[in-house]
Amino acid sequence: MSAIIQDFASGAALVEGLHTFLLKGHTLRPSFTGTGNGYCDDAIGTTSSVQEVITLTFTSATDFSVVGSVSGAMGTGTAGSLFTHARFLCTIVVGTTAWVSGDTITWTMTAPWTALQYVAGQTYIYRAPGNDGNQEVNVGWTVKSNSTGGYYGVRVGAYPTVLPDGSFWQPWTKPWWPLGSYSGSAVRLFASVSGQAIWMTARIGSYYISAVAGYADIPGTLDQQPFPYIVGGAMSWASEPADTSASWLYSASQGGPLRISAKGYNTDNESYGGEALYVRTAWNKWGAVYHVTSNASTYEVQGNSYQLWGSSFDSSKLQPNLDGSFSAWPFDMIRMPDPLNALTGIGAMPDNYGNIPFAYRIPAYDASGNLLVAESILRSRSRTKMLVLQNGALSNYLNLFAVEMF
Amino acid sequence: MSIRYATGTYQTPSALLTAIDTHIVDVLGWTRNMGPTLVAGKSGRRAHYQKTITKDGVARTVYWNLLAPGATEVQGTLSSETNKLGFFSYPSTGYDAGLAWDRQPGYPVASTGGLGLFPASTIELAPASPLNFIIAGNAYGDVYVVFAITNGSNRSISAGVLNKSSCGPYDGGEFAGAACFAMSAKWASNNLMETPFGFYTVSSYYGAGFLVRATVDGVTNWVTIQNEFNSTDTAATTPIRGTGNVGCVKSYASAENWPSPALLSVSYVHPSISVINGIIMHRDIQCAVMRTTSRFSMLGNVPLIAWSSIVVNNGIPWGTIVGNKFYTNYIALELRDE
Repeated sequence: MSAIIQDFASGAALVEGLHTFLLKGHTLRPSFTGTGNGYCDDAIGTTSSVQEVITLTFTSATDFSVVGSVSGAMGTGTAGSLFTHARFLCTIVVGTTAWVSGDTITWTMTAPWTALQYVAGQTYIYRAPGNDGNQEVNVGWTVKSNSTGGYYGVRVGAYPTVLPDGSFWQPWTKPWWPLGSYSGSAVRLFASVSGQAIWMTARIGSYYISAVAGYADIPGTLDQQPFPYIVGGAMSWASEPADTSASWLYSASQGGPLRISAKGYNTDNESYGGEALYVRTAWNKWGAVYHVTSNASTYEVQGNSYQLWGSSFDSSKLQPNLDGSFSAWPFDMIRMPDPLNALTGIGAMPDNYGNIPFAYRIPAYDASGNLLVAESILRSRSRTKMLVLQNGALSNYLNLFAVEMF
Repeated sequence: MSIRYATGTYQTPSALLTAIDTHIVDVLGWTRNMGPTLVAGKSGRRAHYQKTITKDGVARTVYWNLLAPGATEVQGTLSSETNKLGFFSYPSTGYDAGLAWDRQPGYPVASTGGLGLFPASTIELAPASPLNFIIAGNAYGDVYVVFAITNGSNRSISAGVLNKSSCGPYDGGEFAGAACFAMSAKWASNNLMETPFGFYTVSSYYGAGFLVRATVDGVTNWVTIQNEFNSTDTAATTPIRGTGNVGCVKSYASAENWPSPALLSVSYVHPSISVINGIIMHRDIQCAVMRTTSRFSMLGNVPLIAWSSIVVNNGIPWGTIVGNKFYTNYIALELRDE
């Protein structure tokens, strides 16, 4: 999953910058072999990238060669310097244990996302190639802004099927991702992208507002659980306000962000009747992911909806591992009860849709007992760069989470 | 090629101990320091073993001490469970044939308040019919035993080294345990006791039956796994956590106070378990140690077992095997046939 952190002058500039970023190949989480414990946080493809496996092999403590399974030999490089190839770029960082000749780093490179519909300033709908190059997924966003309402933002959507006339069948476009004022708010974008999903967080002032689109990280294979769409933003409405309403403009009182948190709290904005996070169920229907405020023994049955399950996980009780690294745990989306159980009368058995891509629960405190703060960087046990983010302006432990960014 | 697990039945605690002895020595490569031997003046049998387990690049030696009770043992007898005694399992840091079965070098000791000294699993002294057991092991030598004490009610004992790949290295990780800390009034009534954390759902926390060796912030000690940690767990409500001392353990029999800084108790992360489209979910049982007040660091996963959804409340019989997993009421044991 390639990552971008970039400042933009406005929400409009952000969606254009994101457009440029998406139309590149993206790397998946690397695997390491050998002795060195360094890492690489900026591996990314280009508009010319193809689906392949890229292997970087060290020839000394600092030098390496790169080979693509399709591209063949891609050249040599040195740790600390940007390695460039027409299909791949990266900067290798030396860790506390030096690289040794023969150490390897391996990435899966995806083909670039392609634009199914692109109208600058209006429509940004893409086909992600799939992590394996075959399991394509269509997602995107459409701009909505209003000078009277004073807002600018996008509807984040899933567009499962393209019809012959170019329209979409059964898109799901309820989640709203506000991106500041109509006149343009300075915004910083944090985004992680794979071949099948994107996580986006916009920082506007002191507010962190997140959205997600693509496939969830599911148990099993896509053959076993086909089309596991997930799409979410800051909020949605059961009955949308008028276009001229200032309700579309994010504020502290109007719509929370995509509030995932260590305790599985709130993904919704219930007072507005809509949810923030939706998945397409195994029954081929869209279901909301509700929040869970209690543990497994007391949570509610939510019909076709799913729940973020934070049962028994309290990030306020966790600090880093004994070696200083951080452990991270996925956000499970759980549905209760399983229909089979309802039919048979056998006790409730949770039904796991999958995990929210890129986002993780983390310990809320550092080794000194200090509460983590947004935009700080953690290093997971798998050497993954984890960026700490928060929900909106809420910086307490309940609202801290981390997003894989490398 | 060897089968790393064994299933069978037993009708006396001594028979179960013999089965464990045979399997862990002959198949899992444990060293038999003392095979099942009558305890002087008792009718129970003691046994002592050790195993050096290299995991995550580090060799750790586990000393495992077992006692299968006989009719003359009185520890653990409850008025409501007059037929049941404790099958004891505790770790130590060495072996000395000259020492009593429950006083091996570096043995863990309850500070105060406990009704006994060591983790235990209830066991029927003379069940009317043979009862099932399974001894699961892996190539490292980790061992996890689940045995029935009545039909549908199971207990466990285990030993090995925690898997630290998820949390990073530290000095320690050796563990041994049983379903509960010895002699709690609750020990015979909790169905979750086939897990190593028997008091998981019991409101009266008397102690945990799972001990891990760890050096944390400069202090080396045995620490106990107990319960899950969540927002309602405070030292006041769960005294096992350390500010109270019921059921906690420390390294030295003569010590009266907690070492400073105290190693408090270990906790584990509760599973989220599920099934969709026939995919059985398993979740690691992750342990953590409290370092400062109410703050935990991860200590690793318990090998061989995982929480599993397939059996929770759904009536699938004990012993169901799917793939390489053996399902009990609450956990799946990983079976190795190598």
